[in-house]
Amino acid sequence: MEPLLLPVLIPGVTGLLALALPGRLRRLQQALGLLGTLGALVAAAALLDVRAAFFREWLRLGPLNLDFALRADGFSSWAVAFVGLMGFLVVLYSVGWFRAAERERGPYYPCLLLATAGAAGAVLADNLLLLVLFWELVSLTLFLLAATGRASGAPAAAKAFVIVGCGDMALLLAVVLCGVLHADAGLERPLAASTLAAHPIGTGDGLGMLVFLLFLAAAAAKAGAIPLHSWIPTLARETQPPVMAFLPGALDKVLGIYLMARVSLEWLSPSHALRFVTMLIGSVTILAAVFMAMQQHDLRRLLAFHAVSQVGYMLLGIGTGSLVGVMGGIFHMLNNAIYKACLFLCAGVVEREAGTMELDRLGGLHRNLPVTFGCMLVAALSISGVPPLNGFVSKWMVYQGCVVAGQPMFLIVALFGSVLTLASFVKVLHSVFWGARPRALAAVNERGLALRVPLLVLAALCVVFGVFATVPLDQAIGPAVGLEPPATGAGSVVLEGRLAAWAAAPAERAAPAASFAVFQPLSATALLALGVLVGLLLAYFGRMKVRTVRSVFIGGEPIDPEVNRFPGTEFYRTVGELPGLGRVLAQGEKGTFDLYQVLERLPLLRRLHTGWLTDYLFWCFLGLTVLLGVFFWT
Amino acid sequence: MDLVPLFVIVPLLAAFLCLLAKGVLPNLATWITLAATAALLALAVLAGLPGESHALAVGGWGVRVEAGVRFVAGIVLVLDGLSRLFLVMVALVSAAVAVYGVQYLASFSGRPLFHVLFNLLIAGMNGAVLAGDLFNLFVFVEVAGIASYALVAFGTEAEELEAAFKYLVLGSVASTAILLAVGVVYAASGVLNMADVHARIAAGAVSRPLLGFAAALFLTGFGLKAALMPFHAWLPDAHPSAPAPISAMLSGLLIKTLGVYAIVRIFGTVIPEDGRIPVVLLVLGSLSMVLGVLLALGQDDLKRLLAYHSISQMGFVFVALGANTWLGVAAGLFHAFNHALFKSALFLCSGALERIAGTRRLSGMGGLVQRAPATSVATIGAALSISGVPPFNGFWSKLLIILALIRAGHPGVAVIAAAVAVMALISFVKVQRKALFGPLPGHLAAAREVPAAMVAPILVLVALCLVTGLLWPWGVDSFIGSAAAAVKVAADSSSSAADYLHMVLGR
Repeated sequence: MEPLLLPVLIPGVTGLLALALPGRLRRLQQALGLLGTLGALVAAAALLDVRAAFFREWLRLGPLNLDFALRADGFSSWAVAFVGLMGFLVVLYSVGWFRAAERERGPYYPCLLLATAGAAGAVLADNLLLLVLFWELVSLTLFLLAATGRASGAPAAAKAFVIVGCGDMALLLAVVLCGVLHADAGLERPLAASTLAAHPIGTGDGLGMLVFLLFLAAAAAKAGAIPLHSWIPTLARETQPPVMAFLPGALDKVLGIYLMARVSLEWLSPSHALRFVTMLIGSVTILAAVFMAMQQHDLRRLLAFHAVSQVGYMLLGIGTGSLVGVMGGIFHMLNNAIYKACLFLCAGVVEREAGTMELDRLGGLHRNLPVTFGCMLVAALSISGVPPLNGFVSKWMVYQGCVVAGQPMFLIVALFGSVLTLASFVKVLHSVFWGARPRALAAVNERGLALRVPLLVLAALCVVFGVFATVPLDQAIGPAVGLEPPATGAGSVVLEGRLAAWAAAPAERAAPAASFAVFQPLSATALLALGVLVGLLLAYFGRMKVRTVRSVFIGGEPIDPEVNRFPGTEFYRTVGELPGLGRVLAQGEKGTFDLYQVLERLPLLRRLHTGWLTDYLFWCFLGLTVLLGVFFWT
Repeated sequence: MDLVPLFVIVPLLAAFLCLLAKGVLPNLATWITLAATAALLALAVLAGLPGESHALAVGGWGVRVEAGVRFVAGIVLVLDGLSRLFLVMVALVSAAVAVYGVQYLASFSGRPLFHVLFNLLIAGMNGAVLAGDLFNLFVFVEVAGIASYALVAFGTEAEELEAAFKYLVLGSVASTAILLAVGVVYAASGVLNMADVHARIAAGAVSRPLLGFAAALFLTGFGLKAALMPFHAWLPDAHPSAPAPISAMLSGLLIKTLGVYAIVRIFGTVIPEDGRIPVVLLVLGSLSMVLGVLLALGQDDLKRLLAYHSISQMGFVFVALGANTWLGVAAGLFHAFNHALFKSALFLCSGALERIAGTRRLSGMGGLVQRAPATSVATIGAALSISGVPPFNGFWSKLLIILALIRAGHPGVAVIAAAVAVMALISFVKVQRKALFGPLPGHLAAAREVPAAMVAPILVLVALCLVTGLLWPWGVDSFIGSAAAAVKVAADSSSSAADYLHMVLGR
């Protein structure tokens, strides 16, 4: 058996098998899910160092070729391994998460497996039409998972499928345009990715620009960048957390950004203007979504808006077109999938144990849910870009990319967005884990290893990818942009890569050298740890009182702490009360900028269909007259 | 023995027998129809799929030579790639509908008459597809048309009668236009056989304005039959009003055999290449695509929604034909074939859902996936097919249509087609959301799945959608390709009318 096929075939076949089994056999479904995703993970891990291709001619559509071609290169080999890992962790979590109160409904495990297979196939595909097929498989599974998961999920599922479907159609159109352009240029196998990489399409003319914008729309819809983002917050409230963590949280980001990176780096050569558009969309996404996130009262919606906001960094990084920025964008995609999945899964634990996601009704759970708290803390710090966690490293690279590209405005936006993210997560941590605990939540505790292991693995990855950032950068992100890892002992590819980019783009040399200040994650961590240690020692020896608790009295009566609770939802109300911005945010909450809702209100032509036969006859004769005119006068 | 005439004889005979059985055994008619459709299916497999393309001179009145001119003296039936595609389509869908009808019609009175009309409808469609001359084409179009007017009115409620009346009037306008066009061609060329007409026109026997006049009339007449905008207005009334099996026949087959087939045949084979026709088809097709889907978006009545989608999907077929290349014709015919499968499945589903929920309004349904899993699976499958989601067949034909349009130099129309495909997706996702998913409303708590005899044929049609989508590289493509090759030469997209002439007229 061809090893390249395995990461697609194993989850695909187990998924179809699970689909054929009745849903009542829950344990068997779970076992199949675990087996299939574990198989995919192992098969993909075996591919990590493999650079190979699989080719089987399939069919021709007129001038286009649709071959069953897979290729593991520096990008796809680790991306597929990551897909397998996420699949396994999410299935494991699902086994622990569902219980009598809410069972898996509909084809749950089959869809997870098929989504894994689809995502693995999409990143491995070496033929663009094959990519489209796998890509749409992922969209379809998302729809089925959301539509059948919860009874209230149907409208959100429909919205998600429609917006993602728009993106799919844009992708299809872009791929066909690419293929026809290449076929007209007389190239063999016009849709093989290698053909596209060898002959990148210029974006100087209108058609090339259209192709790029269609690809951008496809990636934006999948990953959830503004203005095609609105399905993620809607879906968040109506879908089970593992589904949110898996598809919008992890796989859809991987796919969207994978596509964008391939398009910008290999298949097309985007002009400055188009790169600027990408960066603009990225920075608008960062800011607008983070402002929306700050206003949320529902943990799931809040996380969903952050999931949108983070896509902005990836687009911004890739849009800079500088090596460090692109690497940062791709690395951020990887990091984001890790911490975002972790956040959604932590939120799932909170929902399962506390029974609510409303921030005002949560609080003080850090003792009840210690593992969840720890993992959420790590992930929250990571998404906020606090060193030495992984989110910081990739954001740092994106910042540098902005500097190299000479776009200080975008740099400021990105920095500001990061600050607001931190502010928003302070609110989350306060509202869920700190502050006073409502009495109703006193008995909450966390249960089940299957729930906690995935959280711990993801949180550990956040730390490892931050402290030892050079390892993924050298082994994965570098190869993704065409820098194969150095032989052991040689210097870090990151540094060399930056210098190479610098040499390749003389115009950018004017950028101040300080912007290349290399971040040394290991020594920085050591310094940070030292700082924290000194602080702790000072606190300990200085007998500092970290926290004092006093009872509050009014008129001699102690006040019920329940009354005096300060939920985090009040934190940033002032932002919503700002004169201009507040109104815009309120409109955003109402869905004014939600393309889907706008579309639903389209004016229709029903008035014309009066039901009068004479009107209809009139149209027919009008049509005949016009046709006669056409045939007589031309 | 040549099996081709049986395609017309079997349903005609069945219609006659149904009428005879009316007084004797009312249930016999049902069995006669089942036997007839089964026989047609067998014929389609035996004679349709592998059959050699050939022309059959009925009654031995073959080609004559007078004064050095070859012409066809009698009636010919022509089986080529194009007619084969439509024969198979008719056989597949009508067999499924006949099985479905057994249970669906159990409560209707006047069933034998229904079966008479049903068989006449099939006979008309098969005859139109096989006819080798213009006048027979017209006759068979009328046979099918008249049967369909009566079938739309079969419920004899006010709504049905009104719809049938409108359909009758507009259908008569279409027939008049077609007859006038046939008359114009006949008057100018002196022949009716399609091959002869082509030869005469190519020799310059018909003046250009007269030919343009005939072309406009043909387009109006068959455009009306195909519900091409602006000739579509009868369809949203007629298709929903008919009983579900007939809606499936009308939307799934009739608009294609009387509309698409006739237009492809006349402008692909009978009238030599004319650069204006593709442009007209592109414009009217785009109009139908866009307006049809916009109208469908706002519908709450499931069957009306499906009817508007038929207009929109026929627009896809016509823009593909308007690309005027072999690939475009193949894409259009493939889409017509796929549409026959999934739209008839959807109309049958709508009938089943109406039975289950007691209403056709989407707002009155909900959560039916819990009460009627088999019908729901069938509906989801068919809806995914029409929305163009892989691996269902609709994805491939829409992909081919977009490809053909871009290839033929119409990227703008391709973008419109893609946008319409998205809107169709929106509309069908809405159907699934409102009817199948979500909470089960209280009044549907006792809803029950329809009998297996009704669900099974729908599931077969949906399975065919899937199979066509999965297997089309292995066999389906050559089937569609040979149908398109009857219109365009595959290699260079020039007209392949010469092959047709050769087949009918000989050397």
